[in-house]
Amino acid sequence: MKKRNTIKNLPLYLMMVPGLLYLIINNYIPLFGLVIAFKKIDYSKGIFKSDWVGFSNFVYLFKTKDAFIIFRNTIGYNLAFIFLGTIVSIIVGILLAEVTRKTVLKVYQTTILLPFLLSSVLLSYVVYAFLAGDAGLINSGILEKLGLEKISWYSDPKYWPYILIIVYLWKTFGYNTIIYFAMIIGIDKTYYEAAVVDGASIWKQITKITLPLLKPTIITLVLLSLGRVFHSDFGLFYQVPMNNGLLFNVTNTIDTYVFRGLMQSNDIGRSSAASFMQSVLGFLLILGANALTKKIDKENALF
Amino acid sequence: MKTKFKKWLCCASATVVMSTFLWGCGSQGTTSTTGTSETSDVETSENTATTVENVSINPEDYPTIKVSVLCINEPTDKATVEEEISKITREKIGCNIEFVPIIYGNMQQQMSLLLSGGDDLVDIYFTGRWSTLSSVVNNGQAIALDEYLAPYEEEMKAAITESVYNCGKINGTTYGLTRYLNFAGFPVYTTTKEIGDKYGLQNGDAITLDQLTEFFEKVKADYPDKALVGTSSAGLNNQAFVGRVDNMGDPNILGGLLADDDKTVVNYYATDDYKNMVEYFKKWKEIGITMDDPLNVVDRPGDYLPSGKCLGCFAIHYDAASNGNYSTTNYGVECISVSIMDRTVTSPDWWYCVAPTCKNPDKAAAFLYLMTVDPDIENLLCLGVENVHYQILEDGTAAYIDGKDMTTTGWSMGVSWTWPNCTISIPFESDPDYYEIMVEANNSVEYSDAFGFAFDSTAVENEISACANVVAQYRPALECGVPSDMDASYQEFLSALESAGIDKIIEEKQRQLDEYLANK
Repeated sequence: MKKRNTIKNLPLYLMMVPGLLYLIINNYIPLFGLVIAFKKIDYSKGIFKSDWVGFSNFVYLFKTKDAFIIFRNTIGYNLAFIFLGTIVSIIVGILLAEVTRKTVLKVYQTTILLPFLLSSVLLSYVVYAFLAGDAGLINSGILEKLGLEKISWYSDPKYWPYILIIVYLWKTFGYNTIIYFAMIIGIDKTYYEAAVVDGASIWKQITKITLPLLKPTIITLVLLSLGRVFHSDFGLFYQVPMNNGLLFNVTNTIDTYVFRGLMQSNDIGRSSAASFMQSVLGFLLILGANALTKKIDKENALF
Repeated sequence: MKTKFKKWLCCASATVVMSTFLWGCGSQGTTSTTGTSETSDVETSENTATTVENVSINPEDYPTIKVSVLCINEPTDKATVEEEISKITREKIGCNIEFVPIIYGNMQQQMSLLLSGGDDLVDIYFTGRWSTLSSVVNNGQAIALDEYLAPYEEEMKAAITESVYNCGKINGTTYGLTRYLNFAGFPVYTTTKEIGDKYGLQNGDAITLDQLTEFFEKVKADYPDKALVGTSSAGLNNQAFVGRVDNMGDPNILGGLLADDDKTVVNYYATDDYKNMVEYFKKWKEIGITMDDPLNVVDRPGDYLPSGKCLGCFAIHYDAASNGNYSTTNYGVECISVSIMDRTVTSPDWWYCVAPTCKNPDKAAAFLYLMTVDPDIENLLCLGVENVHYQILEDGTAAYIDGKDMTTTGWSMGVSWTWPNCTISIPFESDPDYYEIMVEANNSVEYSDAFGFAFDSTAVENEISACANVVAQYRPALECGVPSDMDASYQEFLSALESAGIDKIIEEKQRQLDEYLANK
């Protein structure tokens, strides 16, 4: 019985091979590079013969009072991104599922996905077109026309947490929306038909049918994104504020700090140390969150 | 069963999402500096890297030395120039030359990748701007050259002066060859000729900072809607806008030498000299010399000078008049430049090194020598092939072939400043005495004893990363007068530097400098 299954599924396993190869080559083989984080790399000696230096490559991350700011920004923004991103994606996913005309649906899908394909340099200019002091749309097109005073967006840090969150959501919500949308249209239609017969309103259908059935998806996606809470989208935090020093207090994250600090010294030991630490902390966080999920709702834990 | 499957499906799709994210992160790194990577040329160069013991007459049997060349666009006639240069090198030093183009915008990524792979991708490469000499030596990416350069040393010293030759040394060992270019520079202010004429400024004039401030006031009164200085995220200029200080090869000036004391390393930002500069920044802020959001200005002089959106910009040059002529050629409007401070000697920031993977370091050293002393080689490097890429005009200067410009020519032109000794090449699109003025400027200033000292930053790497972040945060904003309370921001800058450990860097720099001076 079991063997027959294996043979029957063989084409499926074969389909898995390219993806598996990709994972091995791209994600597993480079793992050996983790040793770089603990070495003082000397190119004339090579990676393996370079001297071990213990944890000294990690020291610079915690040395100054910037450490608090960069960790706070990295984690804070990511939590906001995960929280708001999930809400927005689910709402849009549900709305999309209600659209019945095929052509309109395609237009919507494409439109919301487009920003995801923009590179962050382009993105930074889109944002600049809105916020520029003299010719920006908001200042010269809206505030000025209304007789209000212009706002100097790029010199005041207080606006940037909101700007960055809005920009991030605008750029990425399309991608997650597609996943939720796919899950929603996969829900058995008979549930809804039965609900309609029982007189359930649209709101009731969403809260009693769609959301409970989406729960496993939401938990999985959130757990996975928690793993990257210590990584930040470099393009978003470096390019979009255009590396403006005035905004560092709210835009400096671990990745931008490392980039600015090591740009000149070309030191791969210490940059590896930073991403090693980010990955380990992320991994621990996933383990913790998964354990917690297991306690509350055993069925939905990742592993 | 069904939920289990769904969970897996979801997991799988999420994995795809994640890996796409990761992949996206990787590619963002390169897209952020425009353009594409140039791996194809590197690959082809690898194939021809054949070392043959018995040098025969067949050109292909000579060993090949691969040299990095900085370019703005991919040079289409690379092979032609290679062949012309190889004709000379085969005869004089017995090797072929092959170029590895490095696109300016991708310099950092391309050079890091070229040197971090263990393969023999490049033999002679430049450092500076993307990294420093001490960093590449520290990383083991450059070999000691003394042994190989010994036969040529005297002749090279004669060509570029001994003190410049010694600038490639760290702790007494030669690791690099610096370029002989201007070592004496000052900040200049460039504006259009129209404005200059109206307010009585001539190309090449020397004025003081007070006079400049007065000029700003007058112009602003007449043109209240216009900006007077174009800025960028780097501040008032693409280099630090500071007084008379030798940054000792560190663009962030984490410890520098004041013009009148070349033995004591100081925290430049805490000196009276810089305090004085901050006072000017405050005055200029009040006048309103910059555009809105000065740190986010994306226009370049070539955009805002002809359109009149902004009337001027700062630059660093060794000769104000030459800078004015340069601006006229490049910005599409007639310009003048005036100097606003005395000249200061600054340590070099560009070197040629030989990679540890180089199979023929003796040939590489010989080519370093030729690049320093041979005008034919230097002309080919700076200008390409005569009558193909450049023509000689009546006054003896070189110019583009008619109808060609920087973007359509086949060779990497307009970057002669990257080559070891462009002063022996033909002046290009400029005055006939361009290089004579440069050499004269170099000779007219007094070189400090510390000239050529290269700092080994190993012991204070952590402090340097922290301070680099502090400087990036405060300096450009302060220069452009963005903080609402300038004095408070300046004080914050100083205390942030202190808590980031600048004193430790200075102490270490001083210790090494003392050692260097004692062994000199």
